[in-house]
Formats: sequence, C-alpha cells, structure tokens
Amino acid sequence: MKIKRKTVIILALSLLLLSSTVFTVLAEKRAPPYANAKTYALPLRSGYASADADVIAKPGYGRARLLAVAHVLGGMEGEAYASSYVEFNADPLPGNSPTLSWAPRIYAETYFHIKGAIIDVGGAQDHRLIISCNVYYYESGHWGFYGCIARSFRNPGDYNSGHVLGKCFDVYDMDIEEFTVTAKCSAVAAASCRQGPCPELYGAVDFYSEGYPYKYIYVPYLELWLC
Amino acid sequence: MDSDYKYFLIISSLIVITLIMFTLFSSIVIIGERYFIPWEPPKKTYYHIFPAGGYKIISGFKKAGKGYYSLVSKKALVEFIVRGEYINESQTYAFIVYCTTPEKVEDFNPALFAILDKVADAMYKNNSDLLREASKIIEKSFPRELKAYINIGISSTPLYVFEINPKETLRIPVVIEAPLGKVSKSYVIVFIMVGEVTEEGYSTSEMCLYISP
Repeated sequence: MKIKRKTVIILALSLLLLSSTVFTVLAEKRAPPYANAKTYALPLRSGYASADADVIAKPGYGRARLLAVAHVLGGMEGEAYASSYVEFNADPLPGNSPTLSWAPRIYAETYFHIKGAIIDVGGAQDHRLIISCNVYYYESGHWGFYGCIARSFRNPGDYNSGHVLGKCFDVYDMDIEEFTVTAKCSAVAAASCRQGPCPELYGAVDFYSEGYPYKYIYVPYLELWLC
Repeated sequence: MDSDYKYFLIISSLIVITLIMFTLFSSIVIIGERYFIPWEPPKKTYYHIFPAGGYKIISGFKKAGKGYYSLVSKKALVEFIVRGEYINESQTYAFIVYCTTPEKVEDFNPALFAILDKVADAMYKNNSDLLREASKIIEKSFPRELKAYINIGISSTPLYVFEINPKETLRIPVVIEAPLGKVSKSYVIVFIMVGEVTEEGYSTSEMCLYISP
C-alpha cells in the first residue's frame, strides 16, 4: 500500500486539530468566567462583637473565610452585632460574570461547599450563615438587584455539605437589556440583652481560617442560561 | 517500499505523540481540578431548586426607566406567576409581599430575617398563630403612602401559603395601593417565597419591583 505525502499531512493536521479541540473543551469546563470578589465586615461595639472576612477568587473557583462573633457578658446589659460577607463578582460588570441579554426566561445557578461551624454557647439572639445566588439587571446604564435564591442556616453545629441553588426567573419587562449573576455568602451573629442581670450570650458563625482550608466556603461555578 | 515504510513510521509516530500529549494534558487538567476542588468533599449535596416564575404588571403602572415603574392610578395590579417546573414533587411555600427601599434591598436586613424566621418556624411547626403574627409584622413594613396585599378570596394579607404540584401554574394577584396615586420617594416591593423548611434552616427566593415617585 502506497501512502501519499498529502495523506500524511492531512492526517497529522487532523490529529493536531482533534487534540487541541479536546484540550480547549476541557479547559472551558474547568474555568467558569468569574474572577473578582468583594469583602465587607462590620463589627458594632456594644457588648463585644467582631467580624472578619477573607476571600480568594480566581477564574474557575472562589473560596471565602467568614467569621462573625457576638458576645454579651453574663450579669451585664449589652448588645452586639457582627456580620461579614463575601460576594463573588460583586459590583457586576458585563464580562466579569456570565451575562445574558434580555430573554423571557433565565435560569441562575451556583454551587457552594460549606465547611465550618455555627456556634451558640449561650443562646445568642441570632447566628446564621446565608448563601445566595443573586441576579442583577442592566437597563439604561444602570445595574440593579433583580432577585435571588438563598439558603439560611440557623442551627449550631459543624457543617460539611454541598448546596446547589437554582431558579428559573420569568422576565416580563422587555426593557431590561442584560442580566448577570453573583454568588454571595454572609455570616451574621447578634446578641442582645437590655434588662440585666443577663445570662452570658455568645453566638458565632465561624467559617474561618483555622486549619485552612478545613473551614471555608467554596464556590466552583456560577451560571446563567436560558430556560 | 522504503518510502512506504517511512510514511508508515511517520504516521505511527504522530499517533503515539498525540496519544502521549492527550494523556499528559488530560492528567494536567485532572490534577488541576483536584487542586481546585475542596480537599475533603462534602458529605452530601443538597439541591435547592425553586419553581419557575416571575411577576407581571397587569395595570396601574408605567415604566419610568432604569428598571423602575411609577404609579398611574391609586390602585395597581400585579400578578405573581409560579410554575411548578424544576420540582419533582408537591411543595409548600409561603408567599410574602414585603416593602423596603432601594438602598436597603441588598443589605442584610435583621427585621426581614426576623419575619422570615417566624414564617419558617410557623411552617415547620404548622402553627397558624405564628403566621398571623408574621403577617401583622409584614404589614408594618409598608409606609402610609403605599400598601400591598394578596387578593385571593376574601383575604387581603401580605402573606399566603400555597402548595404547588409539578407542572402546575398558579397565578397570585397582588394589589398595590397608593391613596394619593403616587409615592413621595422610591420603594421596592419584594416578592418572597419561603420553602424547604427543615430543622437546619430554610430557603428563600426574592424578586423585586422598583417603584419611583
């Protein structure tokens, strides 16, 4: 059998094309298009409160570390409130998040892996972790909050679970030009006692760095598509 | 014959090189994914998928730009449509109409979460007294110049509990009233669904209707 030079070249090119296509597909699957993050912490000093937030966000994944502590000493009156949050792709700009032009139905979805603890030693007023998938609209040069899907965790204890949040939004407003999505996680702790003598109140949401990455919130993808 | 053998060798070499490259790059991708994923996987993954839906302006509003609507009469009607798509079995939800301002709509709102906690507790314990209490607190979120309520049957409250089946469509009429026919500042009517109530927590879905003067 005689093999022509032309056949060899065609075969070689085909193989190269095939291999590069496979790599490209794998790479896109591994790297959703988001890469920025925003952190915020607000401790109020009445009683004792502290909050901290830290984040790593890179194309393809994001990790957040959150801490909120509220503490009122036993026998004393006081109030304490602390919150911290991280929002991936906050202050949305087209191109940083998945964006979609106006469509009658859009589906927003994200996944969180939460691993950490909600602590309540002495009956704090509030201690919770909230994860949410936020949808924003763009109209006439203005970005606004359109809606969200969220899950609120209130029970003290250790958490190590995955959570997919998703919803198909029907859009009847045809003037909206674009949509985008973000992933947000918040830790909140509050304690309040206004009539002493009070019991010791202590609440904390600790998805924090001790033993990092053993305590964290992990967000591997964020998607928006037609539904 | 020598030429054929040479070409055969070239093709074989190309195939081998391609296979090696493919294996190598795939390994890199897999290693990369292992690096990116959490070291210890979650014990269980939960799916919090809400039924599809959205709100539709029926009457009483006109577009004001930038996503805002302004009132054109004292009474406006909005329909909140819930479609039982993306759910596999019947689900119970509480539907709430809440009022806030554009500046506060995104922030953590302790007052709103106190209401949502109460509604979730009421659903978990099947306690109608708690629901009534929550309904009264929700009413207080509205200013004097703006009211909203769900108009089903004879009830006119901002809280409604319903069950939806897969592929079923529900239309919930919401009446928005402004005694003066306009408002003095911007407000946001938030349509909230509360569901998937467990001991651990609950899920919510929000959609915003922006109202400008």
